[in-house]
Amino acid sequence: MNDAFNDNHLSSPEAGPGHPNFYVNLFNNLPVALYYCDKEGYISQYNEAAVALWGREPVKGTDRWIGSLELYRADGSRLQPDESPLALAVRAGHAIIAEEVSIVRPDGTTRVIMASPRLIHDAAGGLLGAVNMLTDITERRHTEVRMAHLAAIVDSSDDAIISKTLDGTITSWNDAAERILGYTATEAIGRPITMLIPPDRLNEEPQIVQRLTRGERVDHFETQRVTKHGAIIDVSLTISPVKSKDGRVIGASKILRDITLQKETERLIRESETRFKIKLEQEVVQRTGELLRTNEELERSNHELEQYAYIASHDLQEPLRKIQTFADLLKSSLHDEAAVELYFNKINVSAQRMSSLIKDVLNYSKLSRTESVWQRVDLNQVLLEVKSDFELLIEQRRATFTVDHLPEIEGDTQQLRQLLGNLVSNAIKFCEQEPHIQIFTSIVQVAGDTNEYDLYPGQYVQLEFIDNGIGFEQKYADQVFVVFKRLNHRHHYSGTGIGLALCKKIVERHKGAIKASSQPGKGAAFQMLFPLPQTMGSNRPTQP
Amino acid sequence: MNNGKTCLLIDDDIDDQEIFTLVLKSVNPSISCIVAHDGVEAVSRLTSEATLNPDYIFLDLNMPRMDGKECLQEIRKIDRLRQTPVIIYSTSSEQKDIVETQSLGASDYLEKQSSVEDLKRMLAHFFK
Repeated sequence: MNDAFNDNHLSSPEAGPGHPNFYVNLFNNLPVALYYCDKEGYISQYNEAAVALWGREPVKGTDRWIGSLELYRADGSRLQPDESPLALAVRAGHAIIAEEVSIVRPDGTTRVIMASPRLIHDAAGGLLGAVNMLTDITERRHTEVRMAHLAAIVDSSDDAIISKTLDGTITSWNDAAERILGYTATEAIGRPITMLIPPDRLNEEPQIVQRLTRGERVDHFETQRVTKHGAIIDVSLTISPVKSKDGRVIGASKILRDITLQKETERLIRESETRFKIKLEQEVVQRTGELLRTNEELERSNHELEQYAYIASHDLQEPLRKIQTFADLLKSSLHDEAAVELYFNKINVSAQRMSSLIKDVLNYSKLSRTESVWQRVDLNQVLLEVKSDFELLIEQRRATFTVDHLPEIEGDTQQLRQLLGNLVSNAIKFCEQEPHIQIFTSIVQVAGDTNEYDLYPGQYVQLEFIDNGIGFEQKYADQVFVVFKRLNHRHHYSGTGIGLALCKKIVERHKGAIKASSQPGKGAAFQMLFPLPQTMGSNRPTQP
Repeated sequence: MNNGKTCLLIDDDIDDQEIFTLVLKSVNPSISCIVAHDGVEAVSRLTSEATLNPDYIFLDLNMPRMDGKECLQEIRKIDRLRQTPVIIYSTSSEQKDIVETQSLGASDYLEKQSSVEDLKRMLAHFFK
């Protein structure tokens, strides 16, 4: 600081414009850095602001051109004092447009300054020196950098960032807003924000403004907006109030994210989930059905095994036991010729009976093991073949038939032939008069999951087979279908007693049911149900 | 010994009737054996013939028209036969049948034997 100006203050009444030191005081007290150097560059006068800016007091007679010892250009290169703007102006002989310079103070801090050098001439026009004004633009530069950084963030954002006044006029519009919504900044700024809102959502805006006015943010509000080209897009909005320095809400900044793709993806995932769920449910239903059917098969198979075990321990034991007993008796009667013959015969009969039983059991078990050939079977044709099989017996017993036109069903021709054959054979065998067989057919609807037939609900063909035989008591209606269960004496009626058991098994293998009803002496009736093709569709017989 | 006693065998199997009668005779000739061919015949005779009072009833289980279990129930309905021993005489030796017939009032359960000797031994033991 120049000593000559040290004691003078502009605030002093003596220091008014008329005072000889007025301008010196003015120079010294100005809030901008000012200094003067002669035409050689030696600093002779400077004010307090200049000292504060340099961070040091220049050494008179030594420091030239500027009070700072460390100078840099804007590009970062070192600048010597004699290259400083003031030195350049003096050498050029006129004022120059100075460039921005950074100075480093002795304490290490840096300031950015703008120099405005002016030459001073004497009355004759000779150069005396120059005055320089240094403006500290450090804060301005920092602010500019910060602003540029923020602007770059806004411009490089993938989300649309829009600002608006409280009355809904758009005030700023970034690149992403143009990309997402189609309007350029020029087209959008100054226009109402409502141009982006679909007509059916216009009531959203007052509600948003209401919240903003209260100073509240609106976070991740999912809605729809309309683009310049009329497309409706799904968006997520985050809206914050913009406040003035005094805290008043003066507008809003809006971050708009295009979530159309996300929504579409969510929709696709939902659809895919639904499809998967439906498929899974169908799969579960199908697998459950298969399991149930397998279980039924297993139960049937177990039941059959139990039946075979029973047959082996009872029915097959009986002739075997007799063979052994009669062999014992034969051994002890060898001296008695008549007894020998009698016991031989009895052994022979028992062996034959054993053979018949084994044959019948094998035949019965074969039904489960043999691969069935499923096809449309015309029962009229099957009955014709059965009549032909029993032609002689029918003729001998003068048996007659009254038969409806029979339907076609899906099944195994050979098994169905055996079924009708057994029924016809029984009707003739267990009859004390001229046998008369009637077969009636009808369509019946089986309803409910549990029904007397234990069948799947649906439409069935009913065949009613009625004979005029000896019949049986109704209480034996279930037992007639048990393997080797006989209701009559063997010596009266021939056969092993497997015929109706076979019938039941055949009908069940066709996913049908058979029931018997009778009264002694009044004939028997067998109701058989076979699924119609459409019922069969969900209930197809399991292929072995 | 059971001198002068009567035994009723209810069995549809003619061979079994013959074997039983033969062996019983050899085991104890003093027991006379009457035969019924099935439950229906037996119940009918026991109901209608008041003088028919067997000391033992041997009853087969597996018979046509009326099986042994049903026949046993019918027999137990006849007052004079409530205490008469009814012995089940069957090919079956299943526990289920043994328990069931016992609950229906059977006194004993004998399994039909495969050899004459075994049958003899069994009947001898029974009538001891």
